[in-house]
Amino acid sequence: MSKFDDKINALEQASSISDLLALVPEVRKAATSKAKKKLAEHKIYEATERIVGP
Amino acid sequence: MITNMHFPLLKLKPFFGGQFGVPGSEAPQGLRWSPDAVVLYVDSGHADASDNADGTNREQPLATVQAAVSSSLLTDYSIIVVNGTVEESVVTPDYVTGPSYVSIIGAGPTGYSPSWQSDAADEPALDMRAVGWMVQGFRFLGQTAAACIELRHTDSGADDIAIRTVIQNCLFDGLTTGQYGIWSHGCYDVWIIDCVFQLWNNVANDACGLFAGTTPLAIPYRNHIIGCVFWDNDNHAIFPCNGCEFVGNRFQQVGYAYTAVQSLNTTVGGNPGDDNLVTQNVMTGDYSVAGGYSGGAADIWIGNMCDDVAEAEVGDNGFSILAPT
Repeated sequence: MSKFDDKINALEQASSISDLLALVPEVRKAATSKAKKKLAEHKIYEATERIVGP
Repeated sequence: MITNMHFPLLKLKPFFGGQFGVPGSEAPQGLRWSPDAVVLYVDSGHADASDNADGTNREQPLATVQAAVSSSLLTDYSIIVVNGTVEESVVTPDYVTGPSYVSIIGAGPTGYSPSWQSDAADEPALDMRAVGWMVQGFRFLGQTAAACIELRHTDSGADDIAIRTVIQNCLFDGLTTGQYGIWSHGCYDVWIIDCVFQLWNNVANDACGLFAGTTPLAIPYRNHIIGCVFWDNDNHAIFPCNGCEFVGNRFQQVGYAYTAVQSLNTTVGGNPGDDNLVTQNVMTGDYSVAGGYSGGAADIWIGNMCDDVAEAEVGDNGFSILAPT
């Protein structure tokens, strides 16, 4: 599993916005292609949505 | 003789009458059902206005919007009805401590009223930190070092998240000295509908109607900017974003009083945006990056009505076929 995949997994496990904020710079740093950068931004959105709730 | 007319809230929620727009308040089986929310009234011009009132009676309204926003009665889906004149900087609770989906309605006698201006030059009139609040019908007046509405997205605190905000039918008047109309810190799922942005002009010429600033978590994503008018501003919309739509807006590059440096910019160096849909807008003036229109590499800018038919990105019929270069 790549470093990027590890970071994405960590995003999916984040349980608070504070956790998410700590992970965001690491995820963006690990996203080395345009496709990965877009996936990272979407995963940040999904994680925020999950944590905040409906 | 009774000298204090502002009693504490003695009535119970099940005895609220039906109130339009409040889920559950229609009480279809009489008074046995409790509404899910309340309506609070704010009217600074009312003779009996006081922040000591509970705000549920429009003849004994609250004096300030902040008192309503901070009220312990406020629950999800509540409505705050505002009249009079608002001169205060209001901060909502964050999304953890405060209710969600609260509506703040301007109920003045004209199209955009009451007016609402911050009482401090460097503080926003409305600092939004909770989920899904809606603001409608106000005439926001600018301040020299702040926005009228600031949408927080963890920049001021980890739990300050104003995602799913709706701002509609408001006038943002910069008064020729104001800094920003709306300042987003990256909130997603925001709807800005049928608003007017005008006279955002200052000495530095860096005033802007719609602006996306410091964004610790993300730049705006899945925002909807629909049916708005931008005219007579230094800059109309500097709004780096991803996957957003700009539909049916009118950007007047050369206004009656001021010419815009940037009309619509969806990607900014260091904060690049992309994959936005820009269509059915009126985009006057020089349809080029130099002229103040700039999009992300994968943005779609088709079907916009442009008078700059000399550009290769605009068809002879005046409809755009590509993003400006």
